[in-house]
Amino acid sequence: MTHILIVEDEITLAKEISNYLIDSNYNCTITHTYKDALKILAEKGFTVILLDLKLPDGNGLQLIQYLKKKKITSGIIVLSANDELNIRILALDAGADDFLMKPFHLSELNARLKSLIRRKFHKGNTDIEFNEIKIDIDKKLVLINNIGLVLTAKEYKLLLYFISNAGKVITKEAIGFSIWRDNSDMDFSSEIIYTHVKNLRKKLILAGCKDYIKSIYGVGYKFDD
Amino acid sequence: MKLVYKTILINTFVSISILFIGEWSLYTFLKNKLDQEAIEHLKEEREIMLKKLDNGINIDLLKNNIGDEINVLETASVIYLSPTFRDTIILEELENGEDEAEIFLAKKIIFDTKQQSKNYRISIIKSTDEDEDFGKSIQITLILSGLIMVLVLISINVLVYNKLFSPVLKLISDMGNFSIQKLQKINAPKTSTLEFQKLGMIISNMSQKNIKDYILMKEFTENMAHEIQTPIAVISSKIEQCMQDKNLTEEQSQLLGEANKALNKLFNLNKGLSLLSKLDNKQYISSQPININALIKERLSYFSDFIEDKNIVISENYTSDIVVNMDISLAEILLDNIFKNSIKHNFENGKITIATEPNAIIISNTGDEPLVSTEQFFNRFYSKNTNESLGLGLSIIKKIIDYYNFKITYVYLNGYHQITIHFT
Repeated sequence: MTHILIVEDEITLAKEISNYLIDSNYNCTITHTYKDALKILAEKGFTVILLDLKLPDGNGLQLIQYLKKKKITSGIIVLSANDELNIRILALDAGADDFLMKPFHLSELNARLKSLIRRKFHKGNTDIEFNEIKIDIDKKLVLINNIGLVLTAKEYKLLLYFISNAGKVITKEAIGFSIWRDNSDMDFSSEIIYTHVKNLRKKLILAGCKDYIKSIYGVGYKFDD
Repeated sequence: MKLVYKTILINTFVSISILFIGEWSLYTFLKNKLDQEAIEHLKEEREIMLKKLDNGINIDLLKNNIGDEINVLETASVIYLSPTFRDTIILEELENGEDEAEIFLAKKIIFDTKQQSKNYRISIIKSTDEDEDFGKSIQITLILSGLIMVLVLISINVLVYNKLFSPVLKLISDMGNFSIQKLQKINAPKTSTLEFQKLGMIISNMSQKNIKDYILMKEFTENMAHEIQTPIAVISSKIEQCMQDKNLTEEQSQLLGEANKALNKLFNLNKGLSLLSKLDNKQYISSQPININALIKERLSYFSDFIEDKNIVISENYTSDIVVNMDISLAEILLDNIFKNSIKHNFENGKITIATEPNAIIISNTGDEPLVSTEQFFNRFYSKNTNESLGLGLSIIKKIIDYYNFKITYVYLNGYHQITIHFT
């Protein structure tokens, strides 16, 4: 089982993250302070550390430097409310694998987490399988019952996002962010999302796939069998 | 008008007025006195003449008096029993080469007298021209001394102004240069004038207090924007968790969807405000040369979905390469907001044209006529009354432009909204 360490001083937020990840079959440990994080890291190894930069008794950046010095190979995803534009660069330079600005969608965090684990720990075997769907991440290839399916770049991204969050309700806003990042605040983005999802769904069904994409009225979508 | 000129003007006006009034009074006073003296002189001469006549001196001999002009006429009737005085003139006889006779002012006494049963009318004319000359020299002296006084007054004014007012002038220039963002208070200038000491102190304290308030406000805004992120993150994750509940009714999940949508809007708004506050506080220092043409192409690609959705035709015309030194993130935000705006307020099947000129880009798009005058276009929170738009985009554009001292112009021309950015 994958072990995740959540270093986040906001207790409620840490709990919500942990709940969501436990639902997705991760093993989660929560610490709220820099000191506790150091202590627990000395005792136990983690696959990925979710790290808030602003801790009551220290700076997350220092923790990254500590991990690098100790040659701890855990993946690091920085979660920060500090929206200084260069903080992302600082964190990535220090050795973080990914950076997510607060507030974020839990489904986005989940997708990033899965992607990081794939990149970092499953080198050479980066295929994703979901029943009859198989995705070769390296080649960006989608196979349905071993037959190739041609998707646009956005449909591919969307399918990956859906499978990463299989069984979960995903909001339109989260999908918008995953596609357009900071430019997802356009008025008519939900219509475009609808179009993309509709096309993806049609292609999957035509390729002989079960209809996994369920539309949840007023909210978003769910990819589920 | 400068204070010193005003003072000089008033001083000069008042002193010249007094000078003229004084001059005029002195002139009339002197003239009266001199006239009276002339009359007295004539009276005395008459007395002497009468005495001489009484002593039996031949009346014709009296004419030979050197000095005043004396006329003696035999007359039948006696009119001037008492002496009569008249103003008159003396005409100088024409000399060679002179066109006009010289005229002298004079006083004349006329009186009748009897000698050896003959009536004589005697007139004595005394030139007062010398008195006139005397008056004139006094006048000139007075005017000259008056003018010298005015000049001295002006110099004193200038000196006093430059010397005494220099602390005030320094204070004024310091206040003009005062920028709250520099966080430097105005120092009270050194002066021994009590009022100016007070003024300097008050202004210095005021600037210090303003800076303190500004720092507090800045910190508050920044902290606010920052602190709001965490509760939004908590609410967002709560809503997302709620949505996972399999027993939710359609209505309940729709409510959650709406709450999430509103929260997302709040998040974007907060992000925009936070960016604006950062720009206000000049927190972007990194700078690198950026190829604007390449960046336009890159940023435009992020909007391909939205452009295709509205079926907007984009035409690009890059006639010159533009390289600008700026923060890469800000350059992206600038272009993104311009594109967002030109897509958002465009028609279905509308057009966007992008052109570059030396040091300028021109982006125009089709769209409805603006409701508000084009000058108000960049004001914070101006939005086209659509519930969806946040209206911060344009303020962000303007702030970034101002931050780098670029120039932006907006016009609505032939159905096109046209934004031009000059990178100067």
